[in-house]
Amino acid sequence: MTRTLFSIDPSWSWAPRLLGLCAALLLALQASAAWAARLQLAVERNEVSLGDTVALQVQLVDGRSRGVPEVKVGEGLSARFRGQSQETVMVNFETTRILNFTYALSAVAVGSWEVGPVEVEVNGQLVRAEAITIKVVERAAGAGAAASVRAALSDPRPFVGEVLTYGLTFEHRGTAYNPRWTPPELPGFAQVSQTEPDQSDSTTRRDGVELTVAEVRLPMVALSPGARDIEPAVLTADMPAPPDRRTGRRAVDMFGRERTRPETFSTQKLHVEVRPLPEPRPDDFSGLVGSFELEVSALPTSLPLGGTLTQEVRLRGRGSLSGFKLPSAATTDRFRVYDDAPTVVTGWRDGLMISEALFRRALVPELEGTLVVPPTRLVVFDPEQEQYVTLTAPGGELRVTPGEAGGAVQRFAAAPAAGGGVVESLGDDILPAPTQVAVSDQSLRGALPLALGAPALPLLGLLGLGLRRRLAGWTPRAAAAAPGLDALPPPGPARLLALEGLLRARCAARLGCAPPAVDRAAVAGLDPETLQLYVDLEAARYGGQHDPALEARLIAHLRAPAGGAA
Amino acid sequence: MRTDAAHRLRAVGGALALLWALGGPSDAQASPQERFAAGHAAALTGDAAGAAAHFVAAAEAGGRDPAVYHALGNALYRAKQPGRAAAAWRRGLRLAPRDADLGANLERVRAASADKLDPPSGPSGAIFWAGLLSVRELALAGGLGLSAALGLLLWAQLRRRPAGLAPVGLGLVGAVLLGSAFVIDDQQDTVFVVVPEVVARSALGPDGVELFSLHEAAELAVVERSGDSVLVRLPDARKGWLPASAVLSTAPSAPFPLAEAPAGPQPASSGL
Repeated sequence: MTRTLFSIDPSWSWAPRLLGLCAALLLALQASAAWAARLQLAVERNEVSLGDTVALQVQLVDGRSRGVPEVKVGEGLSARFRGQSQETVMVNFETTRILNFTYALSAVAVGSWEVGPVEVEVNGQLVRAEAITIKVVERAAGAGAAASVRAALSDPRPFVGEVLTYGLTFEHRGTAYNPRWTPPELPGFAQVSQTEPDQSDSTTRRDGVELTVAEVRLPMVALSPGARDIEPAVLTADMPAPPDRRTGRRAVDMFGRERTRPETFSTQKLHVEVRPLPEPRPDDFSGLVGSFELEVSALPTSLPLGGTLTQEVRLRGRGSLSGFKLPSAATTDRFRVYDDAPTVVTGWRDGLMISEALFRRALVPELEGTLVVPPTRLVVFDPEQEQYVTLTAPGGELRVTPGEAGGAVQRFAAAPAAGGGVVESLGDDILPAPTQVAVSDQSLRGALPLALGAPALPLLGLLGLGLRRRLAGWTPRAAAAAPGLDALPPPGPARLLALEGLLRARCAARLGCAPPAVDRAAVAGLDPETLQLYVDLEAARYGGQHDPALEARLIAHLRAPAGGAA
Repeated sequence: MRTDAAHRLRAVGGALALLWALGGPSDAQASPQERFAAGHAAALTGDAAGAAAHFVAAAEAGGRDPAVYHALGNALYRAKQPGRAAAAWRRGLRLAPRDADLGANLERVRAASADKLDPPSGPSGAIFWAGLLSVRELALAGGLGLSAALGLLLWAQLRRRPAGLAPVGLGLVGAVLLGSAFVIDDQQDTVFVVVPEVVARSALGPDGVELFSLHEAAELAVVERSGDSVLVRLPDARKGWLPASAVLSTAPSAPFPLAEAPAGPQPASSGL
């Protein structure tokens, strides 16, 4: 067997060697990628003023990393991950890929503090960036006075369960656009559900200088006792760019709009000490923590037996009422109580979060005479007074008059039984389950056979119809080309007549005349096949012979696109 | 020939009848209806745990019916297992969202729970009809809409008439209803705590920090399941991992494991 230079062995014995070569090449590339990957730390400035926030970037060059690198910083600094980006740089036909992890680095204490070292695992190997030192200095007098951002807690020593407000105030001398904030991490606190942070932006003048003020208030609930620090919050605003150095005019873009540049500010770190609720707690403590007021709607003076009295209990104040329910009212033999689901509304007033809950309680008297509705009592813990307080709303008395049925409670029967009296409640229990029911699978799984089977029947019908028509040679295009072909009469003279009509219509359309004007001379101007069909059709019709071959030719001709032969 | 076939058929029928008469329907072959009746019979004798086992067997034999879950919840409530009872009632409510009795029973247990938690929110607000119809009704209505749309198309094809826009509208409505049944069934993934107290941790494994404790009959939204643990979310957005054995799903098609030993003495039954 002779082999030429470019011949390929047909036995494929070269394939494993080629695969091995490829695998080795891939491994080498991967190893070189890990070897070539490098990590570096970059910071805007190595010396920052207290309270400033600068961008810190961890750059991974020519490498891939899973997850976000952990950046350790000294006690006087705070780093928060802000996002990541990727860029590809090509120099001299060599491509370099840079993965940027950006952090907001805030200065919270004066001193020299280290950032890093940072280590990242790339393809199983650790890549390291050495630590850098950041110097935090006191803010110079007068410097930075153009903008300030500060955070404060409404109560630095809250109790467990108390709602406190994390407030951030940003002031800037001059114009600042689109201030936006990143809330700090709040370990040991939870945001109040169904309550949005209160945010406001305004412009004012102080000492004749325009001042942009942005305020954010975030309500949160202290969850567990203990001392903890709240890391700085970060606020970013778009500031006007400095004036043009050459002309001294304000910087504008090509559309004449003022140029801006984003600047980031950070608040100071806050310390909070959450205190436990004092012990011992009252037995009937409702679990509410806050300063609340309790109101109850006035009672009517009388009510007919069988009627229902709706008592509205309104609870409002500073604290969270989410999920709170009134303690169950004592039910006596004189009346029964049914509580409705409460309506809770939360809002802001004078910088304070105010909650209001409306409870509707239905009272149904069961005996005639004087009904004494007991006062509503609620034991809450008031953080301002630092003690448990009992909120009381007065009850009242009302006269229960005989109802329409003469005093009997009309609940289960249309008319009172002879000698019957009021149905007295002896106890309260869960509602019974039905016993005489036909049990079946009512789940989604149980409904699927019917839900999917019902559409399947007409779908099968449609598919069958389509298949049948396809086998019979019917297509939508052919049906459109020769309407009426699908409704031909049975074979015989009537069928031939119908086919003649269709052929005449087809010829008339091609000739541009009316069907009755079509004759042999006119058809002769068309193609020979059409003329032959016309002649054969006339012969068959007037000869009175049934010719299935002619019918098939006619149908094939008519199903062909108009303007040509079949 | 024909006589032979008829003779053979009669012989097979007779043998089957004899087998049925000798053995009768075994317990493994009992229908959901029979198990449901057996559960009620057990409840009448005060055997709440036995009744619960019958009701669970009825559900797992294909009787996932609101009445079965109602009776199961009642039996478990009698057996002093409020968490499991609440889970059974919630399953019943998911099958029959307009059943006021199931809602009242569930509310009773929730009110007595040590944890005052709002029930997890239902499906997304776009499906505003979620609480009006059960998933079965939605699926059947969707199937009916689709079959009506396809039926109209078939009729139009047979009659060779234009179908118009009616099949499109009906088909869209049917598809939306059928799709919403699947979405609702998938999104209502909640669990009830079925042990007296359980601590939620921040992570799986020994490194997890204890975050908060929950008590029996607390209802929680499920974020994720991983092996023997469930990541749950509180209404205030706090999350924590719980052991899967401490919670019970409210999905009607999920298994309903009963407690190995009855908790506490069983009171005299007052019926279901």
